[in-house]
Amino acid sequence: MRSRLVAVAVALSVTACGEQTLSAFGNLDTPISLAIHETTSDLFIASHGSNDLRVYNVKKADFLVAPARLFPLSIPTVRSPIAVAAAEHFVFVVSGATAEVGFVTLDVPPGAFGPRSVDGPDGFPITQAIDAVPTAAVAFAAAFGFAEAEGGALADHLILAGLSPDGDGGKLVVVRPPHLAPGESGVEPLPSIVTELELPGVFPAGLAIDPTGLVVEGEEEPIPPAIDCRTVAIADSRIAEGHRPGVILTKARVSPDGAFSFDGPGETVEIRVPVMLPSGALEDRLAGARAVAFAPAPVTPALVEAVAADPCATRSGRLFVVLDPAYCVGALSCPNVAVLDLADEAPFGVLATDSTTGGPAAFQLPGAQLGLVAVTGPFTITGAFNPGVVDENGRALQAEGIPELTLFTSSDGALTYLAGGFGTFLEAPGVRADPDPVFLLSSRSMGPSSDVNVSRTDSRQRGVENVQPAVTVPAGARPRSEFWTAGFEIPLPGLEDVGSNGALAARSLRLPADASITFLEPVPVQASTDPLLADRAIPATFGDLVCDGFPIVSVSPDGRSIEVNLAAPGFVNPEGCSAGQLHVGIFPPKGMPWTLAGSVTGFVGRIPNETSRDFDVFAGSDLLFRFTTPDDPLPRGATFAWSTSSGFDFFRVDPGFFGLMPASVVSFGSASSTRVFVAYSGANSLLRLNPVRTSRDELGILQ
Amino acid sequence: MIGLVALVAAACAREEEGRQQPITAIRFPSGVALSPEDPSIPQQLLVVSSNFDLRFRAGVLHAFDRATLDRLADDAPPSPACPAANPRCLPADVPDIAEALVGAVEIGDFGGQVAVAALGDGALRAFVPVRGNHTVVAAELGASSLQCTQGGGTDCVGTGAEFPRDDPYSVVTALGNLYVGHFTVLRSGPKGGVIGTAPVDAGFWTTGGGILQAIQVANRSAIGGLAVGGCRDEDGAPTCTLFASGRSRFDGTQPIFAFDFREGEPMVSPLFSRNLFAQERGFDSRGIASSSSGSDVFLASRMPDALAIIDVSRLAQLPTDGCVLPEGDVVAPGAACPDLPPSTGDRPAFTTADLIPSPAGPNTLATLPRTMPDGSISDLIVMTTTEGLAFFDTRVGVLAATLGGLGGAPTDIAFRPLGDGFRIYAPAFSRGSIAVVDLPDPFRPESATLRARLGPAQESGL
Repeated sequence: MRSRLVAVAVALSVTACGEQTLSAFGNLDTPISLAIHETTSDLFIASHGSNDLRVYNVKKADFLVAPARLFPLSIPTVRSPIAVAAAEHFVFVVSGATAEVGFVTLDVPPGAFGPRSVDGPDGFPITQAIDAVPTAAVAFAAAFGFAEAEGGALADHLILAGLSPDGDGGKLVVVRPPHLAPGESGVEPLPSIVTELELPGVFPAGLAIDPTGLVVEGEEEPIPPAIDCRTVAIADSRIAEGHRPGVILTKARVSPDGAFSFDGPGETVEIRVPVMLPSGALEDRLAGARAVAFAPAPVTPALVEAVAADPCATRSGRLFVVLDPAYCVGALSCPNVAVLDLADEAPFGVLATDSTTGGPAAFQLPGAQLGLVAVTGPFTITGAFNPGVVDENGRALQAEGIPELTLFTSSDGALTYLAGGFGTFLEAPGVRADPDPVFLLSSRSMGPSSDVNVSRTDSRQRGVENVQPAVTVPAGARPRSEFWTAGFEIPLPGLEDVGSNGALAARSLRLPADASITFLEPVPVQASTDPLLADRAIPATFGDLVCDGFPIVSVSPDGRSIEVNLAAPGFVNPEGCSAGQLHVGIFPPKGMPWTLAGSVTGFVGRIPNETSRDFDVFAGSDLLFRFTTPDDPLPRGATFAWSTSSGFDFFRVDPGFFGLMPASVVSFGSASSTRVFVAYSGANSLLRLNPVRTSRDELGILQ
Repeated sequence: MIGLVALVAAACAREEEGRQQPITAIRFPSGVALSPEDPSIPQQLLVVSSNFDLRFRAGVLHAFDRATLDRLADDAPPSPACPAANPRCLPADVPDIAEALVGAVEIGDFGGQVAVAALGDGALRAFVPVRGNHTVVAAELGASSLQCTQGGGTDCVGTGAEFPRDDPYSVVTALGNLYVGHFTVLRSGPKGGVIGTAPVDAGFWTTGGGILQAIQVANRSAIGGLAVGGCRDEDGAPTCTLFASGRSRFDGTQPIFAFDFREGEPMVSPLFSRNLFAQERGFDSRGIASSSSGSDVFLASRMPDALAIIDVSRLAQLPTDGCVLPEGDVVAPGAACPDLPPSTGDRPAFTTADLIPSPAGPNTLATLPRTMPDGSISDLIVMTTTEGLAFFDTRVGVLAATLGGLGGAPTDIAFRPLGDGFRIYAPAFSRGSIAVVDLPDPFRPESATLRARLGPAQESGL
C-alpha cells in the first residue's frame, strides 16, 4: 500500500510538471507479468498483489471496465500469479504460490463481461497442477487443433518450463486449456498435460518459440504445412562443473490430428564469451542464459514457401540472450547479453558479430538484465547513433532505418537499445539470409576523439607556455571516458610526502607505523642499481634550489622502507638538499621523468626523457591513445591534463522514479505503430512506450 | 500494517503499565532464534516480545523448549472447521504453550532481534538489542532457566551494554564476536550509521557498564539487517565476513557494507561498501542473508519490493590495468599489460546479479541450504512479507511459493532441518504467536504448510 501511495503521489507531482502522462486508471497492484493478445489488441496484466488480471486495450488506449463501470475489469484467477501468456482462445496464468496454471477464456458470449476466468462449479478457478517449480512460459496457437472452440478449432498450448522436484534439472510441460475430447459432451471441460520433456541437469530459466511463419498479412490463406513444427529455445542458467550451459534448441511438433511432441532434449548452443579480468586480460568463459527471444523473421511469401518445403526450418535468424551473471566470478566485467546467429545444421547457433568492434556480439549493459523484447522496424530514432559508422569529422551517424530493435530491461529500471537485426533468417526455401549488423545504439554523436585538448595545470609556465606533449587517438584506438594527468618530474601518486629528509642521511627511509600507503602500493616504487632507471627520493625544496634526489636501490619486502644511493654519479644535490627538516617525495627516475595516470585506468607508468617521441598507452590489449613528448625541455613539476572519451553512451529510456522493478516487457505492432509495455511491479505502474519517441514527456505511465 | 496495528494497540496501552507481561504469552514478537544443539542444554527457541503497545512494564525474552513446542505443534488436534477427509485444512491453534516455557527475562521496551552465542566454557548466551533504551541485553541459557547475565535474576532492564545510536535492532554473533545494527538515523542524537560490536564473552556483560565499540559505516543510512557469510580459513585462522544492508529513506542511497573478522578481531579488513542505487534504483533495504557458498548475498528490498541477489565474490584489486609502450609495441589481443603491479588485496564485487519481484513488505530473510543429487548445495530463500512467507528458488531466481495465514506480519525466521526438509519458526507480529511451518520437500517449495500457531492470540491480533 505504501509504495502505491508513493507512486501515485509522485505520479501526480510529475504530471503537474508536464513531464509524463498519467493515463487510464487500472488500479494495478504489483503488476508482474504481461501478455499481448494480438487479435483483440488486449494487453493482459497479471497483478501479484490483487491476484487478478487487468486488461488494457492497446488500440483503444484504455482499460477494460468492470460491470460497475467506475472500476477496471478485474479477472480473479490463481493465487499470486507470476506469469501470464496468451494464445488464441485462452490466456494462461501461472501461480507463484502453488505450482499450477489457471485459465482465462477469451470467448465471451455476446452481452457478457469478459474475458473471464474458467471456474469450476465451486466458483474457484479450474487449475492444472504442475510437478515442477514454474520458471517461464510461452503460449501459442498451433496450425492444427485438438478440440472444437468458439468459431473454429482449439489449438492453444502453453509450454511451461520448470525445475524438477528431484533437484537436478528441469522439464518442459505442455498444458492444454479446458476442453472436451472429440465427441465428448455433457461433462465439465478440463485442462490437461499433453506431454513433458525432461531436461536432465538443466535449469530452464527462460523460453521462446520461433515465429509461426505461416501467415502473410494481406496474402491469401497459405498452404498449410504437413506439420506445425517450430523451434523452441530454452535458456539454461546452470553453472556447474561438467555441465554445458547455454541455450537449448529443440522442436515442438503439432501434427494435423493435433498430437503434440518434442524432438527430444535438443541441441545445446554454447555461449562462449570474453570476460575481462582485473588485469585487463580477456578470458573466454561459458555463460549460462537467463532469458531468450527470437528475432522476428520478415514474413514474406518466400518464407511461407520455405516453411511449406521444410516445416521444421527455424524461421528466425537470430536469438537474443540475457546471460546469467553466475559465470562472472572474479571478472572485472563480463557480458550480460549476447546475440546468436541461427542455422539449421550444426553449429545451430554462433555468436553474431558486433559491427562496431568486429568482435563477438556480447555486451555488458548497465545493471542486471532481467528481460527483453525484439520488435520489428524500420525505426529511425532521434538522438540515437550508430557508433560504428563515423563520418570524416569523427561524428557517428544517426541511426536510421533500423530493421529490428531489441530492448533489454535492467534492474536499474531503464531500457537499453540494441540494433539487433534479423540475422540469418529463413529467406526462401533452403536459403538463409546473410547476417546483418549488430550494434548498440549510442546517445553520443561524437565518436572517440581523435584530437585531444591538452592543458597545462601547474603554475610554473613562464617561458615554456607553448611546450607541451600531444595526445592523439589513432584509428582503431578505444579510449575510455576518463581524465588524465601527465607530469614531468612530479611525485608518484600517493607518495608526495613519505617522511623527513633527515632519515635519508642514513641511506634509508622508513614509513611511519600509521602510514596508509607503502612503497608497494598504490604505486610500486621502482628500485634499481642503475641510477637513471630508479625512482628517486627528492626533498621538497623552495626557490631556485633544485635537487636531483637520491635513486632508490631497494625496497624492503614489507614495502615499508627504502634504501637510497646518496652518491649516484651525475646526480646534482646542492648543500641545501640535505636539510633534515625537508619532506621527501618519491619521483620517477631521472631517465624516465614523465608519469601518466588516468582516473579510471590508474597509474600507467613512467616515460623516458626523450623529446618528440611517441608512446602508446594501453589498458589490457586496448590502445587508449598516443602520447607524444614535447620538442623542448620542461621544468620539474610541469603538469598537463586532458580528458578522453569513448565516444559511446548507451542509448536508454529511463522512466525515472517509476522505474522500480521492471518485471515484464512485451510489444505490440511493428514499425511506427509499435508500442512497448513494461510492468514496473515496484511502482504499481505500466510504461507505454513508442520506441522511437523516447523523451521523458512522451512516456505514458498507466496505473 | 505494523504501524496500523500499533496505533490500534496503543489505544489500550498503559492500562496494565507496571504489570509484568504474562511470560507464557507472546506479544508483538520481533525476534526469534534457535539455540545451538548442545549436549547439556536442550535446544531452545528464543522469542522476543517487544511490548510494542507499552501495555506492560517491559518486553520479555522467552525461552521455550524446542522439542516440547514441536510436540505441541505435531500433536495439536485438527481444527474442528476442517472436514474429516482433510483434517489439516487449517493450521492448528495451540494457545497454551506454558509447558514448553524454560524461562523468561524482562528486557525493556521495543526489543529487536535475538542471537545466541556459545561461549568458550560451553555456556550459551543470548543477546537482544532493545530500542527503548538503546542497549543490548544479555541473558544466560540454562537447561531449565533463563537468567540475566548481569546480576542473575529475571529483570534485565537497563543491563547489558550501551549501543551508541538509537534503535538498535538487528543482531548476529559469530567467531566470538557480537554485531548489532540500528535501523534509523532520523532520530535525535548522534548521526550516521554504525555497527556496534563487542566480544560475546566481554566482562562487562556480567559486571555492567559496557559500551559497544562503534564501527562507522555511513552518513545517511542505518542498518536494515546483518548477516555473516563467506566463512573460510585464512592464514590458519577461521575468518568470516559480516554483511550489512544499508537502510536508507533517501532516493539515491542504497548502500551495502562488508568487512572480514576473526575471533578476537572484530574487523580485519577495510570496510567495503557500495551504493547499489545505480544498479537497482531503489532504497530502504531490510534483511540480508548470505548464500551457502558465500559468493552472493540476498537483500530484502522494500523500494521496490523485491529480492535482490548481490554478487559478493572477491575481485583482485590491481592499482592499474594500463601501461605505456613505445610506439610500435603492442599488447597481444586479449592479454594483460606486461609487468603490472601485484594485487593489493581483494574486495567484494558488489554487483547486482538479479532482482526478483516479491510480495509486498519484504522484511527478513533466511537461507535454506538444499543438497542436490550431485552433492552440491542450492539455496532456497525464505522471506518474511506483510502477508506471510515467500520462497525463492535460487536455481533460476524465481518466486517459487508463498504461504499466508501465519497470523500477520511475520518479523523473523528461525529454522532447523526436519527429515529431508526444514521446520521454520516465524513469530507473527499481529497475532502474537509463533507460526510453525513445515517444508517437507525443499525442492517443492509449494509443499510448505502451516503446521500450527503457538500461543494465545493477543487481544489486538488479527
